[in-house]
Amino acid sequence: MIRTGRRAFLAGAAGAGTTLLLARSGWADEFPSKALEIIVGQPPGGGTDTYARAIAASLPSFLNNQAVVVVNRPGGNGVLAMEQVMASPADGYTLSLTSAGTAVIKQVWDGNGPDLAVDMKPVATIGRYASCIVVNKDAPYANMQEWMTAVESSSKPVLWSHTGRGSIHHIAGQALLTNYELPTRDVPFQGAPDARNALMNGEVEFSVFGTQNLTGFEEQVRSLGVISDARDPFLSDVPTMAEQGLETPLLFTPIMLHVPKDTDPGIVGEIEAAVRQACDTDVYKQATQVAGLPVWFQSSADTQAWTERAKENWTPIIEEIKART
Amino acid sequence: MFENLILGLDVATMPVNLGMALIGAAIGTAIGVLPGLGPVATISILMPVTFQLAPASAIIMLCGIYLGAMYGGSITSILVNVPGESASVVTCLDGHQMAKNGRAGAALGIAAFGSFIGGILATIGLLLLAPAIPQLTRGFGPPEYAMLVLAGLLLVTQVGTSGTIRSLIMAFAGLMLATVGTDPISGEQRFTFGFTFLYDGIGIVPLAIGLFGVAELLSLALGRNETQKLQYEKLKVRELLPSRAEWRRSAPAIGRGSVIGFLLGLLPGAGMSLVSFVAYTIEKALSRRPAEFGRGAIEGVAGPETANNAGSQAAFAPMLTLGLPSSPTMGVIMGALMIHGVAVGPQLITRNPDVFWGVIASMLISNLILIVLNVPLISIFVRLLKVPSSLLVPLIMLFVVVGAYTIDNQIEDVWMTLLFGVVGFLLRRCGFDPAPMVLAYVLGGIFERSLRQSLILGDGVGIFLERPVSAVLMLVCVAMVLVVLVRTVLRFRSGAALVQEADQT
Repeated sequence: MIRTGRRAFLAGAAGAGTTLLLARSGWADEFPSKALEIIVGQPPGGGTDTYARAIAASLPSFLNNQAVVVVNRPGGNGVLAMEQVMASPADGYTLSLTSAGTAVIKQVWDGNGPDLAVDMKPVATIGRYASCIVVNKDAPYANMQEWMTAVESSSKPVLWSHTGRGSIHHIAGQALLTNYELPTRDVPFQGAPDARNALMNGEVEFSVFGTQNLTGFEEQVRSLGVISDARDPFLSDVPTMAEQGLETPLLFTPIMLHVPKDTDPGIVGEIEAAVRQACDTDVYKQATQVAGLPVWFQSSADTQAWTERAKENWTPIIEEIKART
Repeated sequence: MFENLILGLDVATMPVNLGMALIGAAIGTAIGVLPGLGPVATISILMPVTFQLAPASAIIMLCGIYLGAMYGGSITSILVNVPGESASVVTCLDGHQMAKNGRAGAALGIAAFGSFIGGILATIGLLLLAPAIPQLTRGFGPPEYAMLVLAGLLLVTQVGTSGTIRSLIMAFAGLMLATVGTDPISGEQRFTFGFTFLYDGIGIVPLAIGLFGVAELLSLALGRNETQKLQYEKLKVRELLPSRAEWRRSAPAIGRGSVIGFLLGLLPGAGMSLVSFVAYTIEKALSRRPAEFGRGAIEGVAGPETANNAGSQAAFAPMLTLGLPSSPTMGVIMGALMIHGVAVGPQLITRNPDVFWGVIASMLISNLILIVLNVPLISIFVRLLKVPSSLLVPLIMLFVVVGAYTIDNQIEDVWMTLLFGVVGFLLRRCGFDPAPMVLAYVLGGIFERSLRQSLILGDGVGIFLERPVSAVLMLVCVAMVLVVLVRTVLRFRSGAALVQEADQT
């Protein structure tokens, strides 16, 4: 089942190139009449890129069979890609795919960069990442409570690794730790692989990174709790923090599609409707499932509401974390 | 081991996979030869094409591209002093000098044969050791990387021909350049002056291609060859392959390069430039003719090129078994695996044995294909040097500019490449060899990050002595400093130090 789905997705993605060539002779007068581009701020192969390729493969059937091409524009923590979309014509043919929580954090952390809520127009949300607390497989804790008791009674700060200061996993993890005033010290690494490796090597006692990075390492590490409002569909046996009676000020980060801010609302509505249908296709669901990425559709209005709420609620938390580190 | 090899060969010799290895190797060689156009950009572009293939076939093709680019990367370094990526900076040093001495064919030949031997030995090493590698590299964390790279930094003045003091100046300039960009620990912006394109630091490709390649092209175009007179007419095209004497000098270098490359390649945090550079300095230290290094010593090509290739194949082990990519290219290949639904990690060997052993066995085949592909091409590449420089220079310049742009599709990289080209040209006119700068730049970034991580982990410097591997490496560093100090003091007493400095410049 999964395999056939992957084939379909892969075939669809490869077919996009052919459709692109055919698109030049298109004559349809309504939107879209040519290929669309999704600009991704990450290199090919990561989670965000996989979301982009999955949606690009499933969108054409709902957009006059126009191809959707993924363009990777890495650099500057995703800011370069966002700036490129902001500078593109506001005709709906250039979309940005962003991890919104990361963008909100970066804006506060760096003190510059685009403001998702103001500088762009939301189309839809298509997925999300959640962070989780990870310990070694043989660690003697059954749940978060046991683990927290052990950390609290530690005589010296407990070391933990994350994916880099100012990343979503650092902020989400640190916000939880600060909330319960746990004696910890963070060690920043560059990305989840290095953070995970430091945990496996025993250099740190626990680690915080994305749920999808547990795949392939089930025999070495395990998660004690997911920092989200719902269980991760691919980690259904790991409870959330709320289920374990813990309050976490900061949850997951949504994966959002945006267009330049002056784009015509009618065009935004058309893309939104197409994305809504595409998120429901087997092609999209199975392509994201293979990489352990959850599907989560949100309308344009809900997407905007999330960003505004996150900006308001997260800013003081991020500023406090930044001041303390 | 044998059942693994047989399983791997079963996968690797399937007609479709043989075809993929051939296509990958051909594309890889082509992009390796075009200066600037790197494997990351190519694999990114070609990744969607692999979506229709089975995971093993897809990864075999991408792996062919990667290895082909490693083979091809030495070609432009040797012929026109344009390094394809940071790992081939070291090849420029003696490889291009050999070309100037009329031994371009020998340099290309030894690079190809060295790469082949190193590649085959590394693959055999992987077949024997791969499942044990997660345990073998367990002792390697930030403190060990910090000390390993520190040892590298202490050797950085060994490369280049401009004397110790000028090399030191260049090395410190490189260390300073490495501080530009996002702070590896605090995540804040340093020396970016608000430019978004500097957030990720100065790119290694603009720096290396600018300082070596563009600078070389400028001196060719301006008709001022600072280091040596280049006489294309006198190139002996017929003497394409290494002579018997050259083979004799290279054989031990190839042997040592294979071992060094394989071992350092297993450590994903060290990076390929450390591999080739350590191999170079070891050859120089062991050579009976150290003065020839930097002036066209064939060991200076054979050692690093072998190590570079052995290392890049060994690097597949930590990527596949620990999910740790050692280079951006490896990162993209790992991402491709993820899209194909293959989760890298300790369970990969048992869950997808066809992918794991298939990829390793396919490297044997890719190496065979590459040597068959590359050796006949040497005569063509050498003839390239006969093209008048009025044609050659603008053509290469075009490729350099296109290559610099395609790294991240940003025009700023082109300006940086050209800027570093002018800087490199001026440096050379003032008698500075930019090689220590590039190496210190690459190592400086790794050193800063792992040193600061270690200090947080250990809450002080004690951690370096507590851990056995880092303690040993630290002793090596101390010994290296002491040896140089004692030697300098002795030489100073005999009144020779200042004279030697002056001689070299």
